[in-house]
Amino acid sequence: MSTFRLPDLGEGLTDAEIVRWHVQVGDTVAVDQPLVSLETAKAVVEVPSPCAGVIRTLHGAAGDRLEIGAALVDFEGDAAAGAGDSGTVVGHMPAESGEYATGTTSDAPGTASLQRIQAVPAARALARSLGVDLSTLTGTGKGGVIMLADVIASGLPSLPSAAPRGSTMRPAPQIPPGGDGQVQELKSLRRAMAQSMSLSRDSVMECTVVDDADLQRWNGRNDYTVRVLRAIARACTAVPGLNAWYDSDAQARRLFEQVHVGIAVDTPDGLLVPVMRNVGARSAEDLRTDLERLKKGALARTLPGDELRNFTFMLSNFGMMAGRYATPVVVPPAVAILGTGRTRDDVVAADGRVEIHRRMPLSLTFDHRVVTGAEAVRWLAALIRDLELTE
Amino acid sequence: MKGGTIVADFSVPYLQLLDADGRLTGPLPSLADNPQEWLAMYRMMVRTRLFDTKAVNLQRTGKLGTYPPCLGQEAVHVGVGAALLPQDVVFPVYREIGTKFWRGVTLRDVLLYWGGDERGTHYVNTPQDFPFCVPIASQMPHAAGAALAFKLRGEARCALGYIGDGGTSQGAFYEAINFAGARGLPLVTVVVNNQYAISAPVRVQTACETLAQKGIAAGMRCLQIDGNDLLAVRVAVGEAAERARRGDGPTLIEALTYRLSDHTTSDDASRYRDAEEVTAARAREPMVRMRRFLEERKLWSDAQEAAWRAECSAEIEAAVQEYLTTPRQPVDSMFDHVYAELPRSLEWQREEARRFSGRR
Repeated sequence: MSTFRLPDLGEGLTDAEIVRWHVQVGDTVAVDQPLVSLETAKAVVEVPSPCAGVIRTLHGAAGDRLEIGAALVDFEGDAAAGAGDSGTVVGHMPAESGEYATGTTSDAPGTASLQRIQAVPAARALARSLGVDLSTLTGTGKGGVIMLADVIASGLPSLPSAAPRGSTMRPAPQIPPGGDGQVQELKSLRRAMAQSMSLSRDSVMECTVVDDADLQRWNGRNDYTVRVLRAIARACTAVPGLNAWYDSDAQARRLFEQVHVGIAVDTPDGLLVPVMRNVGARSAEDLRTDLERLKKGALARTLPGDELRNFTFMLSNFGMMAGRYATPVVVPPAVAILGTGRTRDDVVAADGRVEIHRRMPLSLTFDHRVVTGAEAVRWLAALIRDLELTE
Repeated sequence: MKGGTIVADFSVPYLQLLDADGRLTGPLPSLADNPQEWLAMYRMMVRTRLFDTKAVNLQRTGKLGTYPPCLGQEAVHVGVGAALLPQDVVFPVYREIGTKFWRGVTLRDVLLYWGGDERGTHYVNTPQDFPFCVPIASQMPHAAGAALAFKLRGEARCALGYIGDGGTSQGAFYEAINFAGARGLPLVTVVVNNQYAISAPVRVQTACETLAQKGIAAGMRCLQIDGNDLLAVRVAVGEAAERARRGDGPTLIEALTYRLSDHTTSDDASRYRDAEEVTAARAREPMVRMRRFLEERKLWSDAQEAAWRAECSAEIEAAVQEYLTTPRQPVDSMFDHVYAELPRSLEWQREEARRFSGRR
């Protein structure tokens, strides 16, 4: 048997997700015949067979994520001479083989001792930053080389793999009677959401302020989302501190002139945030057209990465379904997010009389590390002022 | 501006000799009226395309690094190759393997290069040709500089600089053509307009109607051609090269073609262009029309096509094996050919590299 391992299909990628197999176990395949479609961070690519042979095993099913270097296909016999067990990497990849891993970078030339702990550079760097002593670890890499995963397992107690067994702090959850349920590994969008939300929780000091915009003076020609986008742009002109990125390591904030609004879009795969560029400089028609295009692209998952990155302010229009106010979550490095709730008829006091007005509930969350409360409410006031204009 | 007078007036001619159906649009200039050369060029296009397909498959199976396919652009590359003489010097971008192969670069050389081995740029047959140039437009000043050398030495040679549509937005491109125009240098610039600079279409790249007209600002002869028409490429580049060699100055040629493949193996073109657009472009691709042209003149047949493809595939397979079995260079070879005399600090690093790789 010979094994074809997952090659790096881009430049420096770490993994890929199986989209579709084009062959089955038992199939006889020719060299260069398509085996499988894989989705990487960059593209969906078709991977051809490296050799002629009979398929013995397909490792993984559609939707599974494989690490670079993991077994992808096993071929029967040694007919598959071309598959090669190391043919997955062009040239040497020292970080994996540990080939040159015995040195340390800080030593002056000529003083390097030959008695070295073998570790890949990334593992060495992480160990240094965590204060982990490499000599206490057992390497799981080829020839006992300490890999990144070995350091993580020893030095990050919050990771499940390193959780102490039988801990008395909290008993492991037991699956309740009545069925085992269904395990769904988080993939692509849901995985990305989990990561960015954890990052937000760990770094941002969030503070939320709520209010309403009275839409009583609106004429019939107003486009809800487009008005909100224009109001965001104008509020950001009035108070630039909310249209910014914060770099906590550098303790610096970057104020933007143009407002690029990330718009939360609900898709069956999870949350996607396409970006409307420079919303302050565009006509209502242009904004509406672009909004439709981005929504369509988000649902079809055809938007390129450029359109899903680098927003300077975020909008969540959660009221489309239900909900009045919320505490939307800031996604760093942005410093603020506006949530718009369900527009409704409210009983309001107007000039000493009771009236019924159309109102839009607003929830603004800001990163209090870098935005003051006064800035936030001044921004909100500017937003409301613009939203309450006739058109 | 009322009352003004026109001080200069420009136009950009367009050349097509063979239409998308393989029919001649007019009489064939003598420069391209050579049935033996037609066959040689067509065969080279087939060979190039088969190699190109194999190279992508090698990357997909982890045996080659990132690779930029040339699918659909073979006519420009092979036509340029046929139009040049051995003493001319080519300054390529990174996609022009058809030109390289025509000038005697081996299949293995190209595989070695994209496999990360610089020995693949040591061209035994055309040592004066420059290697692939991955930075955008930096080859153009080199090409202009070589052209200046030919002029100063009084040599009947030309430099041919390739550039892409996106590359024509770079300062280095303008500087090079301006210099060549001002000094009347023997430089032929071939702008391969394949419509996309990675994901950026030409319409966002420039407000110009043509890329050829950029040559007007440099004061040089310029024209636009159908880059999927092998015969038009052969004639346009052949004439430009002859003019350059006899001292009649530079020419800029914009060759209109279409990149049918992804930008590189790290790209997914379906994210930024419609399938309909690609289908339409496929109908204008360069090889089908040339094959029809040859078949109509009884110069080529299905049997010849099959035999030639089999021959190329065997040659490619042998080259792949040769590439895969080429011994790797030792780690310390990275220090070779960098300095005439290696600085002390790099000598230390070379020693370290040798020690850690077990090559004392």
